[in-house]
Amino acid sequence: MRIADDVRITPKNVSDKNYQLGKYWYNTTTNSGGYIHLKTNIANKSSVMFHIQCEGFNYGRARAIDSVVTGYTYSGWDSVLNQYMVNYAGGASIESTYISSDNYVCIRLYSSSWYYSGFLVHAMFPCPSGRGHVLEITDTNFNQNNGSHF
Amino acid sequence: MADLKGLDVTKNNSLGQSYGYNEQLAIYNHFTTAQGSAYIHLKTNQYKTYNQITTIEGTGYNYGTGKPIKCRWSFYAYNNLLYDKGTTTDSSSGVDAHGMYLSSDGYAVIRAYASSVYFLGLMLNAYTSGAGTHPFGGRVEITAVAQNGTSGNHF
Repeated sequence: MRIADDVRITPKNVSDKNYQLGKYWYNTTTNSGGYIHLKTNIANKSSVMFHIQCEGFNYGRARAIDSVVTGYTYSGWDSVLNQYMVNYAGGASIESTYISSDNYVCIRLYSSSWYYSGFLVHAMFPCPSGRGHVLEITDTNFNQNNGSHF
Repeated sequence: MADLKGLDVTKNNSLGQSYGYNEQLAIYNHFTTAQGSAYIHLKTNQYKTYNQITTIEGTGYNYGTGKPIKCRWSFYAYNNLLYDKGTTTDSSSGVDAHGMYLSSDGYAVIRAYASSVYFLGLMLNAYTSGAGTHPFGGRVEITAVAQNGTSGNHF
């Protein structure tokens, strides 16, 4: 068995380390619903096409967490272009992206309960633009703010 | 941090079954800047007598349709045929699992479709199980790819 803090996978036919597992773990025991804000190191207007997945378990809602957001930080646009959020499992939903005051992509998740929840953040950069990006979650916050926090 | 060339996960089975690579991540990344709709034919190394039950998962991002990708192809290559062919495509997927067939030289081919492939990034994972005498979890490889307007067989 091999153990790693996080994993960067190079697909077998290319040379980009563009499939990244376990980039961040978020967990909470809070007995309330609300919004989790994740700040990434994807800069605004940086021409990165991304696929970010939150995967885990929301005990309070007794549902798996499997939510994905995709989008593109087009250089000529002030927000994430062609973004799409999908909640496959019901445990939490990625509601929106926004740009922080210092110009990084942020993700806002919502659940009506986060009681004993935890999820991993995975990332993929499979498209022709932004293939060399390495995702980092640089800050997080839990609050009742359904707009921008960072 | 671990940097890996693909990720093949195996587990020796305590029941005495032969082990293999049951989960294989990032077996192939197809990406393109072509415009318009297209079928993508991905030829595998799964020969028609290979005797392995295989699921291939498509994930990633299709910028052209503005959607994440979530679709799957499942089949059983056995006795010169593809048995139990099944496809699933999530309702919000940017690429469809359109179909599958045997190539003229006897290998399983999966076919994807997208109404736009503009700046598409398709990542393939594979999941395997054994059958009969074939070892569980042989490696799944993509040996050839074609992107065109053919909705039937290409290879």
